[in-house]
Amino acid sequence: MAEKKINRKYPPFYEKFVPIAIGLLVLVVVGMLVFTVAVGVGAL
Amino acid sequence: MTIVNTFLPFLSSLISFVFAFFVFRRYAARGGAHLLLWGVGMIFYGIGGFCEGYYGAFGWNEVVYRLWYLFGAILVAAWLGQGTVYLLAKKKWAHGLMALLLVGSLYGAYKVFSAVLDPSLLTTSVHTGSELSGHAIVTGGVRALTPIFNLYGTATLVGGAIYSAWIFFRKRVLLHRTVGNILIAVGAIAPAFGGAFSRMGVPAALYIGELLGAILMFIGFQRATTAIKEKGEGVAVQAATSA
Repeated sequence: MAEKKINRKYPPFYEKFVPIAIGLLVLVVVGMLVFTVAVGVGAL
Repeated sequence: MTIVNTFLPFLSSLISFVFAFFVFRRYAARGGAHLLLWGVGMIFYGIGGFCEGYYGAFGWNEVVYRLWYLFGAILVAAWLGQGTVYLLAKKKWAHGLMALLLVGSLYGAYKVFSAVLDPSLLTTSVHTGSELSGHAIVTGGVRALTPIFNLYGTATLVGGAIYSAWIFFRKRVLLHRTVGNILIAVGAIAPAFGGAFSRMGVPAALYIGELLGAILMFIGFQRATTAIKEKGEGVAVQAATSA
């Protein structure tokens, strides 16, 4: 018997909110790290 | 003495100690080096906030300043981040990084407690001296330690929380862990943002950032460790992983 594929989903709000939040966080963290290193090496 | 530079940091401190109590209580029940280190990290957070509040209320005190710089400025993020390293990385790596962190922390303590201080320098920057900053440290090489520890702490604590949130989201499991980790990541970033705005001369930015950080991380931890009841089922989704 073929296995039934389970398509899990979060509630609709979280399906939209989570990737946006994670994306923004990644951008902010990368930006902060780049800024800190740039200041540290005297580029800014 | 103002509400901003006394009440806010004292409140951050109180929230941090309460948060640490919850983390240690979970550690006592479940064990786990990550919980122990998060608890220790939140104690450091609380010490930092207390020292800021003390300075706002009673003024300069050399020991309080040194304690603030060591625990509040240098160690807190790195020790919290080390907890995340224990949660996500292989034991071998976590132990190695822990050894480095311990040595680095002892070196930091030595440097901070042997540094020459000049409290009059607190008013030489964009600050008015109403809030604590690292400017009072005269001895070279002490303030240079801070970004090293904080880069490690931010990368591990925030990076680990984002990574965990993404893993849970990708599998569409444990919604409470996803949401909790996002809140922890935002809370962990808040003090860094506050610090950046503070350096640009925005009054109270650091203390507001620290308070927001303590609140958001506390809510995030509670969210991540408390299952969300699914509609229609009436039963809690059981946590499959320990945190």
